[in-house]
Amino acid sequence: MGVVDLFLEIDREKFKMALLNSIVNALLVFLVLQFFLAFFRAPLYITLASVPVVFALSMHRYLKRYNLSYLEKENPDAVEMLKTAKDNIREKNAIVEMFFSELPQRVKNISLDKFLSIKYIALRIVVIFVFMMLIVMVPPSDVTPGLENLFGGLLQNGRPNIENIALKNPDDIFGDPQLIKLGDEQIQINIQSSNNEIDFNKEREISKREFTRNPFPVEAEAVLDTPSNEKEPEDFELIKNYNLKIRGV
Amino acid sequence: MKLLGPSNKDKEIPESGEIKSREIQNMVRKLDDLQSEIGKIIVGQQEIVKQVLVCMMCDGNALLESYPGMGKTLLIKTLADIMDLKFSRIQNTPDLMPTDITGTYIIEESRGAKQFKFQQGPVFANIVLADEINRATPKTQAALLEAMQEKQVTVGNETYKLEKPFFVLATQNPIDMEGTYPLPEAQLDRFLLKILLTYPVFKDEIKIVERYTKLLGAGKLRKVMSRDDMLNLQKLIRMVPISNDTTDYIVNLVTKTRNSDYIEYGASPRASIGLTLASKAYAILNKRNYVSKKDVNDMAYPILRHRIILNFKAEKEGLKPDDVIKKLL
Repeated sequence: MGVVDLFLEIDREKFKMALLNSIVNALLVFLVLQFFLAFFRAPLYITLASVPVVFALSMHRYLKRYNLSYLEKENPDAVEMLKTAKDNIREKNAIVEMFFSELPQRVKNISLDKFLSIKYIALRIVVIFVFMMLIVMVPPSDVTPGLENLFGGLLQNGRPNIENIALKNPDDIFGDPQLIKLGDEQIQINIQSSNNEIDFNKEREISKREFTRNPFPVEAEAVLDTPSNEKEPEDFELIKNYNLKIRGV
Repeated sequence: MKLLGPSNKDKEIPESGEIKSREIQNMVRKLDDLQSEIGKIIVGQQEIVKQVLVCMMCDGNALLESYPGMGKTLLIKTLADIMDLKFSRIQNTPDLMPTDITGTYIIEESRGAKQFKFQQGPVFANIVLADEINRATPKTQAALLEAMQEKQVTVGNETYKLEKPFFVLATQNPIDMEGTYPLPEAQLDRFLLKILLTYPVFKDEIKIVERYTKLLGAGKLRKVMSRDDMLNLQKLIRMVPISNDTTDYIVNLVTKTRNSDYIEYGASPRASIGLTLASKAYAILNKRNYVSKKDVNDMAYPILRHRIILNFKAEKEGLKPDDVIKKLL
């Protein structure tokens, strides 16, 4: 193999190493972003959009970095061999021929060692694996209640999409969790605030009040504006009876 | 052009280099075997053995400086036995004459007629150990130095070629310099390497004591290399490729010895040639088929230490040649 072919071979190896490093970086960034942005219910395409950007920047960086000066700095042995090959390219004797025949493999072995930092790649693969496990095992809704609909609210014109709400506790005594679809119609609910005013000038004794079975305070009530024409789904009667039964009513 | 075969002594390496890599690998294997065979007799001192081998491979001569009883004679005799080469020893004394080294004419009577016959001196060997060369007179030293440089001996009007390979290992004792004739710098320059033999480390000395107090006589050595193998090695090492960068580095290093603040007189171009050749041989011994800067740095000390003369500033600071060479590197 001539010295020119050897340099082409080194360029190919450089490209492969840059590609490998860039793929690992892009995957790592994707998983980290996906993990953190999932808390804010960001859609997948936001994190996916980062992948080609990170990949391109990474490729550019590595290709620029893995130039001959880097090779010279990190691989003085390889450079010495290449310079010897270049300066003796016209020599024809047994030792030089032996040297040329062994040169590509030797340079490749030394160069790859420096281009491919096994420890660094192994560390990134471990981090990737950790984040993959985190994404699978830690659902975002368990960790950050209250921030669930932040992005959802903005992107869906203020209409909460509660189609995908799952019950927090699958082992609830009310049965298996299931999706409850309340229909497609819009319901306007007016909540009238309590008429109680607190007059600090009027002092009176605290009156004892009996606890009532009604869990909702009577001061707050919801008044339906217009009755809904929607028919109740058939299952609702079943659910209603079941709930009344288990409450002993 | 015939290729070299390991068992056929008549074949030589052709100049065009039609040798196969298999033969080169055989040579390298033989060098390994040689070093391991030497290890059976000489304990430790691997670097010294390598330097002696470098000298032989470069077709040069070595000056070995060490205290008495360090195994110089044993080392060189072991080498001669393993390589199946003729060995001779010259014990230099102030009364030694040049003809005691080169040989002389003697009168021989044969069939009633008397004639002069040249009686070869101890220099007619492949490996010559010249013990305490600084004890011989300058005239006697000159006779040996001519043999070293020219690989020939002149006696009277006749010139006799010395059989190749020819290698002189001259020794010097760093103590007990009274009544000696130190070699002038011009003569020192003819030695390729100056090897410093130091005391062995504790573990090695234990092994030496165990080996030489339990058994009478050295172990049996097998001949792993022939005369032709050494000649072929000498040709092979000149084929080792070296980059222009490394050559510049060598010449730059030798040039620095002429401009250093600590050196009165620097090394000559002979040092550049010697350092290049020695680096090539050292690369082969380290199983590499190209010269690395590390080879040059390792060989710089034995190549340069006897070719530089330190000035007063260096002596005032208590610097030795090796310290100055380290600064230059």
